Amino acid sequence: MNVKVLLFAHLKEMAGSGSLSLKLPPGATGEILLDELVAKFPEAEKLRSFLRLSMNGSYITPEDLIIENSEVAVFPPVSGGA
Amino acid sequence: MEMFEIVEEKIDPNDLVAKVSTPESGAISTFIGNTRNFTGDLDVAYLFYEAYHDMAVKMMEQIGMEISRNFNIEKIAITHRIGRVNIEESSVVIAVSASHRVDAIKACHKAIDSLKEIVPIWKKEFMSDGREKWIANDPHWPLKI
Repeated sequence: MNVKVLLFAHLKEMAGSGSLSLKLPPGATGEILLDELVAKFPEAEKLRSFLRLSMNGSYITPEDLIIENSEVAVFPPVSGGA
Repeated sequence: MEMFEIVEEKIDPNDLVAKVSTPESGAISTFIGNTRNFTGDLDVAYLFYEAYHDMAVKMMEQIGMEISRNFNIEKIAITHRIGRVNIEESSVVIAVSASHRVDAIKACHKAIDSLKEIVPIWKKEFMSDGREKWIANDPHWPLKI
């Protein structure tokens, strides 16, 4: 399945784009999505254990299944506020 | 009237105070987060904020619901600014109304703590010497300036 992935902050700069399409096997988890992302952007490897995942606007864990046609996002720990 | 907003222009705290004011509110507590001119030993020129807009609004609404459930308050409003925020300008303003001051103050404190933890907004520091760095609220984040 193809999944559209949104990237933010440092990760977005690293990828040179705020979104990309990843081809994932059926039944893929967040972990597998991160594998694919790191394969595409090896620079992201050192950030991997810190990255957060969301699907349709809610946080998910690397163990959660990625659902086709959902909006997935990957991003560094947040830093809003002052 | 939007109680949870992401905006690009300057925030007027009075707007949030007006949003949460009710006849039953004996207290309105506010938190105003501003850009300061230093971080550690470095001089900060300005900050830049980026948001995952839809999820950020959703998470702020979630914080509002949790606060309303756990504290005896009337209303809560949160506005976060994105884009460039200069020294002494505000990136975030929170206002909470309650019948009594302790509820308003405690709820406001909890709201900013939760925002910094879960709302998908990121801050980039631009230093006076030209260096720049994305900030991540994790003490072990491996990228330093």
